[in-house]
Amino acid sequence: MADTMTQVSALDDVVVHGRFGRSLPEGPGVALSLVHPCEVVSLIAARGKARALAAAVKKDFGLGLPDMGASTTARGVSLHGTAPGQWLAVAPAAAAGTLAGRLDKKLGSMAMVTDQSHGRTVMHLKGPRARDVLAKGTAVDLRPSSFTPGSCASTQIGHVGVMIACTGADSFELSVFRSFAEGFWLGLSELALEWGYEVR
Amino acid sequence: MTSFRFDTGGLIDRSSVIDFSFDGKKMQGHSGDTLASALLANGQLLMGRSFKYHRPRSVITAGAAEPNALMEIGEGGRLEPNTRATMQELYDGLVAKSQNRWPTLERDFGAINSIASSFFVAGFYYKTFMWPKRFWEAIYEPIIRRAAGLGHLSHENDPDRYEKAYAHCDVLVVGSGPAGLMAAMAAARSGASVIMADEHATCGGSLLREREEIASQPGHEWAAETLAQLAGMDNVTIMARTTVIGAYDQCVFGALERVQKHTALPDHDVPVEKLWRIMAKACVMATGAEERPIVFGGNDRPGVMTASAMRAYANQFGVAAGRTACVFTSSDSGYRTALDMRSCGVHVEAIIDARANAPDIETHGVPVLTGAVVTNVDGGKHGMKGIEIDRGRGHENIPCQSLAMSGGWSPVVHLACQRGARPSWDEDLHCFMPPQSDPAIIASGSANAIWSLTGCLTDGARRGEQAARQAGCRTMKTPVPKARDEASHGSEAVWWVKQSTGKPFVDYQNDVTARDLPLAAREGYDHIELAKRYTTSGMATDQGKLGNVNAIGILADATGKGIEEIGTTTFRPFYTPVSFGALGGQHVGEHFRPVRMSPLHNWAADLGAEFVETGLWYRSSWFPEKGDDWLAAMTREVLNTRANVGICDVSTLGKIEIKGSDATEFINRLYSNAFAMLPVGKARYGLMLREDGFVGDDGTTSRLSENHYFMTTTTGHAAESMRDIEFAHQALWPELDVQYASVSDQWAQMAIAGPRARDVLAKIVDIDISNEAFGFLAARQIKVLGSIPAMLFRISFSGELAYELAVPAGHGEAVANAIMHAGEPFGIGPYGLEALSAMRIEKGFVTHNEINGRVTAGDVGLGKMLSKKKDYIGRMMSEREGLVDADREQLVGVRPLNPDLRFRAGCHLVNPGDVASLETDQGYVSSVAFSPMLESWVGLAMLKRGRERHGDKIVLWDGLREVQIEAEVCDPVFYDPAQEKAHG
Amino acid sequence: MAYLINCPHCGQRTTDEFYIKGDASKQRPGTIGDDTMNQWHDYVHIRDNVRGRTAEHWHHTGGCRQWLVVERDTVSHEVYAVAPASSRTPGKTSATPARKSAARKTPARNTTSRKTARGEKK
Repeated sequence: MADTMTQVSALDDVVVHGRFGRSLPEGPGVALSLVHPCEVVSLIAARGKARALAAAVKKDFGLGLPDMGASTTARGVSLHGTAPGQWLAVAPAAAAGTLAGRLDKKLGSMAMVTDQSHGRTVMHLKGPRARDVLAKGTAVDLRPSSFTPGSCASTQIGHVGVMIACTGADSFELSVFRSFAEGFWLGLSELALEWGYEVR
Repeated sequence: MTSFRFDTGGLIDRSSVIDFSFDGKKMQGHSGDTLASALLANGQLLMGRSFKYHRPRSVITAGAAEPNALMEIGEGGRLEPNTRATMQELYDGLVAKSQNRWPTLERDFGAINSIASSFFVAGFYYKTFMWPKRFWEAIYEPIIRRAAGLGHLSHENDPDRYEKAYAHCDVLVVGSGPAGLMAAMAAARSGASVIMADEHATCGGSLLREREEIASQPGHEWAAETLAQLAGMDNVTIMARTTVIGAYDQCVFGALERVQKHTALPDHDVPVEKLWRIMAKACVMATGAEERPIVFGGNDRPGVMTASAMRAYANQFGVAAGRTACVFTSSDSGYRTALDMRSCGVHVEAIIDARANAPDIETHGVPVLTGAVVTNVDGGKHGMKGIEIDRGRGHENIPCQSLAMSGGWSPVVHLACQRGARPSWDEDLHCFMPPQSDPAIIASGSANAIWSLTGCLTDGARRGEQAARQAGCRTMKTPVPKARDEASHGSEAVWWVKQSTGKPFVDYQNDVTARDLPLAAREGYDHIELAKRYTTSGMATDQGKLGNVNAIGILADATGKGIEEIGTTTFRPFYTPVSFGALGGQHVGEHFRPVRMSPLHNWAADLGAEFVETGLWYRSSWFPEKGDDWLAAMTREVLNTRANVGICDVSTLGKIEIKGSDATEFINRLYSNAFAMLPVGKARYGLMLREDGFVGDDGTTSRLSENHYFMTTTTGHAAESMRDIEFAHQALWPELDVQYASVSDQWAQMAIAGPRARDVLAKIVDIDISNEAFGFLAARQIKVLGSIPAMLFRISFSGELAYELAVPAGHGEAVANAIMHAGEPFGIGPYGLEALSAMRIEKGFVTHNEINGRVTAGDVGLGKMLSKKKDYIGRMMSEREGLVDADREQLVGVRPLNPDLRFRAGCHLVNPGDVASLETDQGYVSSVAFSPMLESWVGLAMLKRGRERHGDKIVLWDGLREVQIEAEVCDPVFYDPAQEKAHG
Repeated sequence: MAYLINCPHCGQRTTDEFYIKGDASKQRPGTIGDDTMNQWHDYVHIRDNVRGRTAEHWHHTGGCRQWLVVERDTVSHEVYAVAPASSRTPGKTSATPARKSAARKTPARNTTSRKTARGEKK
């Protein structure tokens, strides 16, 4: 059944909208925004069921099951390959609480479907300096030649685990464990001061 | 006799005027000046006092190897000592102070050391300050401490920010002189992604300091054009003001970028320094070569500098140390200085060439004295008067105001040697050649002992292509421009002038003279690593950049060994000093480590909670009302919870969801107690051992359906437990069909405890929670407030009738508030970590205070939880002799005979009458609380053979606070020993 | 210690994303019982301190959270192989176990002068 009560975000009293940091003639280097509510569901294939799972995901959700380090998107749902046999499904949503149920219904016999919509905080980082900001925290090669739209990586920024997905030429979806979100958001904002940032 | 600026010339911008101060004196310079060149322009030749002898000193170099002109730059929290004036860009408002002098640079009291200098030879401190013994701590050490060190710290907080970052490229080019520029161009044209780094603000390297021509233009103009071309290429990143400080494994380089060290008021949005980790596929090391001083008497006097430094000051900055000069050289390159200075209008008195024969170079009338050496310099804090030479006819004096010395060239090989490879001595070139053992680090130009400009340009292009190939690119040939350069590069080795009459310095910064090295050898310290440490040559902040090769030469001479046999000392990062600020980067203050916030944090804060740090978490610790201290608050919370009902945030627990057809078998192998038959709808307390048999962690696991489990771990051990679980599956039993995911942050979890807990919860849950329907250890998925999915567990850490309710984290606050509202008629109150701890101690429940890595299940009275019927992690080792010994320390309770006496965890236990010692030690107190129920301080303790000793008297010994308290050993369950309340 | 590790799942990462558990050359005994105590003691406690090639269990904590076996050289820092822990049979390294003698190539060193006795007066 749908979980209809309003879900409080970890950044509820943390996000401040506006423009911050250096004012450069070319405008803010990045725009940072909170994606909330957002459905996040982890999928872990049962032993020997990876192929069946891939077929079911394709049939019921129109999505290809991506390889490790890649993402696929269809019908408002993205699947990110975060570990062997493991995926994170992300769907920015107006009404939270349906994706996990739908996935469990169709895939529950082939995989462990676990709702993480409350356990993860999802953010969006976009702009000409987005890669530079992220490169202050992770050694993953995020250059446009290496980290293209459809790529994803589970890594750390400031010792906080983060899943980075490249969703466009200069745009990235970031997801962290909820309890780390406030520190992560504030830390990332500081790294963006050098080029100025906007919070929408 | 003072230094001065030429009327014309130099690459400085004479139209810009920069105001700065030195030792309180206001001075002016130009954009493009360094602090050193500006000081020379202002006639300030005297720049510092040497470390040991407090001799007056000025610049020896114009670059990174400077040992003498070390300044304090900036004020307050920005104060940075030991900054080389030669590397400090001049900026408006710069405040500089000289170091190591008192009261002033001009009149330094420390100069008295010079008089006693024959006592301060190398190693003097091994032989002095020993008698009488008691004088060491009271007198000698404080004096030495004040005299030691260079520069001082302000002890104020640094207001600026620092950051760290990563970069990737195919080819890293270190240095932007002729070789570096060509290498970058060649690599870039071959399609490689290139980062070119130079430690100076303006790229161009030696082309900025010399008068050579490339493609019929002045070298610096060609450099500027080439730089502009490179800057316009998409695949090239130019990093100026960036020193590549270290070479690490797998072609990873550390680099320090001085982002805002050239402004008095840095922009706070931008870091002042950035520490880069650069991951490259190949590196062209175009780091140039360092000219060596010659070691002769008075070679440290203000006005004496390397020949290339004299040219750099004249050509790049338009300044000179004096209006007349001499050149003392053992190589052809010294002649170039004579010619350049002559072009600037400085009168060159003579070239003193140590070699028997002069090279065939036109000197335009400057006299050349061959077979001659300088034996002393007549000069002091006001500058030079002249030099004393010896060419076999006794001492002769030549008046002059400055002296250039050219002792040969040392390729800057550091990056190629920092991972353990050694450079090799070339007897013909008189220098150490960079090793070739790492194909990814490619020396180029004068770093590869190529001295001619044409050679450097050509070599740079070749090496750039080589690096691009190394990085997997298809190379394109890059045309090399024509250069007009010196043809002549001969040299001989003169290690030191033995007949010097003045002090001949090898290491300027540590005041090591040539005689210190043979002394070290005589005392038995004849290995280069030992001689280094005995004399301290090469150990200062300049790490021997000027002196090391001379020291090796002198030691070789003193011991009769070859230079190759002596070898170099070990090279280590960093090439030049790096601030701690840069090393810390953004991870300071609040960002020193990550912070974790509970989903109920704001709820607790709104109720006035005081928080405590537990690992990375902030946990609500107590909820004070009107002036409560922690003890009053905790006491009130415990009494209220045990009499009525309380609610506590336990969201920080580790939570793991586990599923799969082998989930049961897997869990059964992790826990020491039986889990295979855990009924659906039930929770069970479990122990996880380490493979060595000691307890690792404890927690509760519930079976929600046949193959669906919900596991909790402790807060502090959650990360390790998850890792251990992953290890057990992936490394030990990958054949098991089990899936697990951390859901620690998905669920807010709260404990509702006390006699009225059921009454409160019944108002918000959708199931029958009577004792019959939902008994002790029941566990089920339910709904709260109509629609919110939740899990309810009837488990108790307080010993009361209690439940733990888990709801999705984003609903945590709403549900907690609903519980507070529902509980109002029953007197509900929040309780924190202090109260939770007091209650669990009253109940004798263990935490990681007891489970401290040296404790077995048997030690804490849980021996029955070690199954004899299955294998599980730690099974066999838990049964070894030492872990089942009857003499082991066992969990007991301790109560002071006087209930009001507070004692601390960490107290040791001693039998009454015994003097506390390792031999008499009986154990220790692991947890302490004030028990509101017993109105007494109580503790849990680990006592030898403890279970046999209930009722015994014991002494609680606190050696730190020098307190001893008489106590009684008792059962660790202080309150409700029959466990009736939890089962109600 | 190498700066970079090529995780088979995530690609090239810095070593600070990993947790190092220790030697991976021993296999957990398959049986329990009093007569197996020595085997267990050996598995849990006894280790060689290898100068040269070792195999270690590493956990990619900051990435895919997979356990790996990293074969590397403790002297040269070279990383030979990184494989998922589940795919590797413990006890059998992919090469002969490293050995005490210095038959291997080391980076160029000035070894000759090191042989002179130290502290001897000449």
